[in-house]
Amino acid sequence: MDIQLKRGLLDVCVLSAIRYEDSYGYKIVKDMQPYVAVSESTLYPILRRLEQQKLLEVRSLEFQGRLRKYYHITQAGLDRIEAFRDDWKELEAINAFITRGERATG
Amino acid sequence: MTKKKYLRQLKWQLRGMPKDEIRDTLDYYDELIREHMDEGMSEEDAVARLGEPKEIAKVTRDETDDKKKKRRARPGWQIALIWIGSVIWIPLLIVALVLTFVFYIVLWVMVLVLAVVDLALLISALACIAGIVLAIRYGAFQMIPLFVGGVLLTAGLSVLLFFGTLAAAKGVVKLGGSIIRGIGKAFTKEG
Repeated sequence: MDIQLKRGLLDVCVLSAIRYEDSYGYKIVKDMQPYVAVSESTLYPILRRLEQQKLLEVRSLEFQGRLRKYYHITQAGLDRIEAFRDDWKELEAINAFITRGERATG
Repeated sequence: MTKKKYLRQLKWQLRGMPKDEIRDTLDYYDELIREHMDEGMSEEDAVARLGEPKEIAKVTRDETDDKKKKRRARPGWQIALIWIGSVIWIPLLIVALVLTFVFYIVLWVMVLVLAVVDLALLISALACIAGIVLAIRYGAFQMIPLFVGGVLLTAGLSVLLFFGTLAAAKGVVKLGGSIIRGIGKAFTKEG
């Protein structure tokens, strides 16, 4: 897949992983893996970028005697997911245009 | 490789990046390795699956560089505002600098006054000693206790004041240093 396209998609995927419940690095990767190929080392820069864009917040909580960083989605993050869904509708329309006539000829 | 060794190598690869970013990155990978070990993976395997520290450092750096590039580009209207604002902030800045300078001069004048008073006390002490000598010479023995008292009093005060003046001078020098450093810092931050 195109790198730029995948980058944008991964941002939304990560936000979706924490949409309903705060989550932590390890769990985010595990939740995403059945759907998208993502490794822990690719996740980290994404999390940082999303934090810088204030689409999510980091909260350190104690877990079994050590600190675990939980990622919490912000309103801006939720808006971003919504924006993606609108984009997706547009993409589907574009795809319909690109593939038009394929069924007829092929 | 052990977790400790891995994180040390990663830290080395991240050198030159802002300290808090290095710390956050190390924290993240430390946490990940622990999560895998909590799930029963061996330390060796938990570390091995992360990939080379060099690779991770590269990805992390790329992201930071992107951010910096974006930050450097100030929108035009901001630059315009700073320019228009300069009508106000340049005179204000000059006034603040002059006031600081005057305040500092006043402090030195106060130290100078202390030093002069101290000198006056010292001269008085010498005068009293001269008084004693003269009293002995001209046989005015009834004056001796007065002069001895005078010497003790003025000499004592002058010694005390000497240390006081010294401490004050040191304090003012120190303050001057921090003022200059403060101004320097403010300018480098702005620039």
